[in-house]
Amino acid sequence: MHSYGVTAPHLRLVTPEPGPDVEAGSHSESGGVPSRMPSLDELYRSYSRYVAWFAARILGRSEDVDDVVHDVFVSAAEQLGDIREPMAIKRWLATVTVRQAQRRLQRRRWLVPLGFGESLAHDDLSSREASPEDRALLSEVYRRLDRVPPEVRIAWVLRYMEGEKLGQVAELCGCSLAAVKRRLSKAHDAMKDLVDVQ
Amino acid sequence: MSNNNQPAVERARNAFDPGWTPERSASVRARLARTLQQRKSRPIWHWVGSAAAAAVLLVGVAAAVRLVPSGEGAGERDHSAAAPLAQQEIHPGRTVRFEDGSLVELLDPATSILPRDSKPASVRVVQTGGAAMYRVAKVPYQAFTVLVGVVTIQVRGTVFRVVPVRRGAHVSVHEGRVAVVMGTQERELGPGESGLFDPDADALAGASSSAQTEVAPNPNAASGRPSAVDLGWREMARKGDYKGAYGLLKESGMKVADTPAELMLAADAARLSGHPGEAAVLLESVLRHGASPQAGVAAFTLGRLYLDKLGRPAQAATAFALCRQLAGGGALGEMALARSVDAQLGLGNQSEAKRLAEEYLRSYPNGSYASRLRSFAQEQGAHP
Repeated sequence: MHSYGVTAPHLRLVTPEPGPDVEAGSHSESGGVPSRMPSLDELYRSYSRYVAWFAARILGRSEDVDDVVHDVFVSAAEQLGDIREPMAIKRWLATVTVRQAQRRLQRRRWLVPLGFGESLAHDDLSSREASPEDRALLSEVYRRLDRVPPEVRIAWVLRYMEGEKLGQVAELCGCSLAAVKRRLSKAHDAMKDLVDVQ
Repeated sequence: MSNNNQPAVERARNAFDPGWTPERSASVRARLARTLQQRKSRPIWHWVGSAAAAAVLLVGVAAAVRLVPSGEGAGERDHSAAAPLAQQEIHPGRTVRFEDGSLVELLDPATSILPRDSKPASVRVVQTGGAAMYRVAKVPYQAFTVLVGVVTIQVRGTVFRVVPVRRGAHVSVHEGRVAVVMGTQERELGPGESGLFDPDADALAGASSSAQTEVAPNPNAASGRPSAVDLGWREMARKGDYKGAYGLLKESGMKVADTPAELMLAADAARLSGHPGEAAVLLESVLRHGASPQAGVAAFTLGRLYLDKLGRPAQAATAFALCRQLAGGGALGEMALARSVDAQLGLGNQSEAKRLAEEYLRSYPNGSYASRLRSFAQEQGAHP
């Protein structure tokens, strides 16, 4: 899926760990939060990777990610001036990403049964470093997530794939803590016998 | 790699990689820039509107930007920051000072400038008449944009003059560089360069429109206005329909304007629709333009194509080396150096691969590829 396919036996490069500061021309300081309001360019350099990974984890498919990143930063360009606190930017981007991704998941949920959606293969989300077992596991996780409503899927991904706390999941989803718990419970049913979450 | 003792969710998380590559990021960034540009370049009535609407707009924006006219002599503070510009008497020879230190000298009685949607990270000014000299302060990460008719002038720390002409503008640069965008075309002007950017002149002049422009001629203009097919493939590529864009490009006989931005877009269409050979040819054409803004990403992408898709590690090594020259020590340069190791291994040149891996570890001891390259170097028995 990504570029590091042709390598010699002793060396396999992988894409860096997810984080905000690995883009070309990145310059932010050790991933720290900005102390002043950044420009759009700065914002993109610092957070596009974060948004892309975040969106991909929710969507479970690589090809929609570019569109989400694009749309999130269009929103950022339009609303950057409304954000009063530079430290809140990352959270704000995460919230917008969740909304954009949810919109796409809802659309997909309607289109796929009608035959308009793409296939639901998830192999393109596996690292080349991953073992065949783990690739299969990841694929199965998303196959099961495809069966649950978008809001349930998002809550589960945020909680377990992103490692967010329950309160943060509620904040990102724009719902109550009780609603998050209900959604996670539904997701657990779908994930039964596959993943061992508490 | 699999550790079945790990919780399954953790294994799934660790196995995850959406393949968000630098060129993919650059491609989305370019698309984002085009989207924002298109929004900015809406017809003048979209954003000027009626006089009443403009007055309302000015009240808000003037407060945000704190537009303060300054000038020689007394009375410069008479124009308070909060006063709407429409109520200010700004005469020729007067200078408008922005909070970031940028100055605009109004050269003509008919000159009208309106700040619009200005934010800390960007200042946007609409000029609707007369002539003005802009002295834009060099503020890191701040974009200063002048909108004139359908033309957008993007600057950062420079001195240039703008005279609106019909729906466009005549732009002459005294210091620094500006990018002038008109529709899908973009030109960069350097010191001493000037150009007329006017869609009406272009339409009237037809094939000879480039004669109106004093900068490097645009191949599109030189060969006539873009055909429907030309416009179609660009539109499709920008929307991410690379397969459709490539189909149209093929139909047109792969006619692409010889500018780095166009070639890069066409290369994206070819590459992302599964035609690495054609993409490589287009990327090499980008590199023939020298150190354009697209050159670094083009060289890196070319290296990847040669190495991963076309099985040509020697060419890949050359492309990565060029990318390193172009990108310097930035993140792109770092990745190019890491992938140079791959290219050398593809060539069977273990010693050069080891040397490059060690160079990487010296330059980027905590880099994204450091742990893997360190393992490699240690396997080779050289690096401590």
